[in-house]
Amino acid sequence: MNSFLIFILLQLYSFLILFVPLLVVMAFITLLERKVMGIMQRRRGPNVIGFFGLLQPFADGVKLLLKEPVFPYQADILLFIFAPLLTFFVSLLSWVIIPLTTTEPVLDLNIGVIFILGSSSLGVYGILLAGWASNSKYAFFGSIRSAAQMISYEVAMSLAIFPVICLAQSFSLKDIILVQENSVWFLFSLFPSAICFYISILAETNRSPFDLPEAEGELVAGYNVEYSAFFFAFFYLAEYLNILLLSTVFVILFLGGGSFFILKSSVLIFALKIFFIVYTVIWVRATLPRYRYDQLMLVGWKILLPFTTGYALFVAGLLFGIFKITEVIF
Amino acid sequence: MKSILIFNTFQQISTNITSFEFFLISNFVIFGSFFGVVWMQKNLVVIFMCIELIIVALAFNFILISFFYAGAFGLIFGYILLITAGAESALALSILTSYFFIEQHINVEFVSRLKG
Repeated sequence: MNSFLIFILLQLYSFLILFVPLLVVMAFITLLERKVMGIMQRRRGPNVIGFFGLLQPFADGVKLLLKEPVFPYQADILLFIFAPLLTFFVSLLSWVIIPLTTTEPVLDLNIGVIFILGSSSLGVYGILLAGWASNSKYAFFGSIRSAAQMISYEVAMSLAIFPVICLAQSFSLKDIILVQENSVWFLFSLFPSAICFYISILAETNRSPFDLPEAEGELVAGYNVEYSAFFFAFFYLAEYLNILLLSTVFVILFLGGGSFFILKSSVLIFALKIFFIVYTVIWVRATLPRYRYDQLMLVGWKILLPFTTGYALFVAGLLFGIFKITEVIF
Repeated sequence: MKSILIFNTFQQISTNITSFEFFLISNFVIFGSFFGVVWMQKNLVVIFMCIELIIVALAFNFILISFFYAGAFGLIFGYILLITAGAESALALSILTSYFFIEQHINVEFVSRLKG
């Protein structure tokens, strides 16, 4: 019985050691966004609570937890509660296979890329359920827009990853990092693919300039209008976790994980790269104006999709024709 | 990270299960969604969802077969199938939406505009 208790405690510890630092980092990313946007717009940002406003995200969290959850009139209560939980769970799911230390990922899947694409496409369901269950026109329109946008850009995102798989000859994230450590970052060899993937990250996480779902002028706040208190907090957490996750995937696929030219690969360099990508996402939000909806669809279907398809075929054909690579090792 | 026990136990369980069980799952999903297409003839949205499920289960089947034969062609085929399924679902839903916009219904029994 005693050994069983120790086993349970170890399992609990193993979960907490992965997810608690993740949530703390996520909290500080919200603070980073507000501070950086404040500096770019020539104001201070949050600076009252704690040293330089460092305790602001925790104050926000406590405020959201203490508020009263409000359920809209004639809403589907079960789905209304289930939708934020699903979104949050899906955004945590992919973190299991991310090789945070370059040598030992938590769960060493050899189909890591497919797993990430599959689990990120599950996020659409949470958003659709949230819009449908809350019995409000604004939430419903926001969720439909958001779902259409995510479906469109997922296709381009998958096709942008395809050349990386061809060059690395593996679906495993660990192997992709190792290939880049030993040769050159895929950012240099597959630059167009990296650009397309970055644009898809912005669209996939509903960030500016593609933040159509929360267009304040037309729809109040997108699919989460009717949510309050900690159900809203789940959506908020999931949004920033998705940004962090896709930035990490970008670093793994195109910036070579923890490697930096001649330096020995380390976790610190990996973290700095992720920080840089998250910073650029915030930078884009503070700089670019919002797209119109038809422009968004045009960019997704008529520009990104044909380009990434052609580029994937080009790289695959190059490997097959010139280098005679026909077998993928995994 | 080596000390994370629960994921290691997951890995042990997943290696102990033979691939036959997974084939059973994917084939059950294929059969069930085919049955859904035949059974739910009235509702066009359900039919689209069933077709989508068939494609996803087929991709799962391809991935399993590639593990079974220790090659990666099935993986790549499944990958491309998933991409195609995404594009296909968007296409079908847009056709559905524009049909509803014109005819104000999506009742399968009265859909006759698309007949040649």
